[in-house]
Amino acid sequence: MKYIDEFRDPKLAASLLADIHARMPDRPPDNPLKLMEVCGGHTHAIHRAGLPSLLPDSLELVHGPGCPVCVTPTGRIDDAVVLASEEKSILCTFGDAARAPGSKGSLLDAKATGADVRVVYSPLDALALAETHPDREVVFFAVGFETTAPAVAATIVRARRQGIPNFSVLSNHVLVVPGLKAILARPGSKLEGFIGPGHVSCTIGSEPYRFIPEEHGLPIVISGFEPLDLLQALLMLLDQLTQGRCEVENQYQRAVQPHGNPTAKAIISQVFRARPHFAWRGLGPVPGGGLRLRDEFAAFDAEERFSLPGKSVPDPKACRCGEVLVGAKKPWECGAFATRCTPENPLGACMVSSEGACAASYAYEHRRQVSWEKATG
Amino acid sequence: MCLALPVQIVATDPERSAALVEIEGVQREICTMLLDTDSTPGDWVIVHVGFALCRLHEDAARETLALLAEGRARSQAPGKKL
Ligand code: SF4
Repeated sequence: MKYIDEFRDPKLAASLLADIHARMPDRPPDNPLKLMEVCGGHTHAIHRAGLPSLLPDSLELVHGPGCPVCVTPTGRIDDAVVLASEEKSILCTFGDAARAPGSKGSLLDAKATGADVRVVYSPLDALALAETHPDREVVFFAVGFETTAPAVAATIVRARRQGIPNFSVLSNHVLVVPGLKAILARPGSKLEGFIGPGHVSCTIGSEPYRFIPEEHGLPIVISGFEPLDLLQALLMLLDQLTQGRCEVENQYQRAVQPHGNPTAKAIISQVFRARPHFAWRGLGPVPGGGLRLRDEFAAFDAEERFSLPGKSVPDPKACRCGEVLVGAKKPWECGAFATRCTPENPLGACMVSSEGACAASYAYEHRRQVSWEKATG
Repeated sequence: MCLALPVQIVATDPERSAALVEIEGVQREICTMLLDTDSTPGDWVIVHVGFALCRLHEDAARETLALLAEGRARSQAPGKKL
């Protein structure tokens, strides 16, 4: 078992696709069945496998808010840029987060003008930098859902145990359930089911999604990331819909347990607490939508240790991310798409990371459309 | 961002909560402190930002594949039209 190749078998994929077409309920083209894949990793995997052009026309996959870099508000990036520009500081973050635009540019732009910004693979790499540079302030700009939060929490616990005084975290961690609640509360959402995030669910399990069938009467199937996983999850959703069921089902049983990973959940709640509100780009303030360090860990909280502008910066007026995120608009229906807003120069949240809805559309659909237009004159 | 990969553990160092894994032919150390049970070489885990996030269960993987091979997702009861 290699856990990848087995789930990419093209013959099985073809037969699953045939089943999806056969079991697809009749829908008029102007009223497609809208299913949301919550996780940006799924958005990327769906496009990479070319699924949008293989699935029935009356089945529309709506790309959800599950791209933590995309939803990090502009004001928080500005705070990180300010911190990075301090002479003593080294600002560490993941590659995607370094590219996210603030109102005065991204962290990579700050690096180009002399700030010490380092792209790291793991928060532990940032901690190691703090150990080897005791004369500098090392700040880790943390973004991520419940997949990433336990790793950052574990790094903070280790920093405290090792007594490393020059390490801190600027937490922009977001939580998937409050995000989903915000999506479902938005008017205009015609969503009829969800593909649940696979790796967030490794931590939180399948239980926290029960409000979706219980309070909203909608099905959700947690899925893995290979093509067969996604096709099977879609089929499971179609089965629920056509049989009139709505449940939380778990396609990704090899990794996701009903109660998730208790150790990972425990370390999150040891180190973090939910903020009353946290603004998400494209969605606005989400109640309980973000994590902040607990008072016991204030010594490692960059918000406590440094004075930050902490301004809230409104999303650009032209940006339609909020509507894109609930499936009310397609990325190309935004006036800025592929003109003022491109992956090289993102204007809005959904174009920031390759996992964002607009970036995925741009990478996989826009180019195809442009070359088609060129070819056909 | 939630990009995470299945990898096989090559060696473990329980004292340091560390394990050696191979990712695309390159050996790298990961932290195993988020796993609820000790890991042993040969185990498969999901790795994200340098941490093993959870263990992979071979029985469950085989069951999923068996369902796929039988051409059914879960059930094939004829459904009503929406
Ligand atoms: S194309 Fe750009 S500006 Fe328009 S909705 Fe998408 S991210 Fe926002």
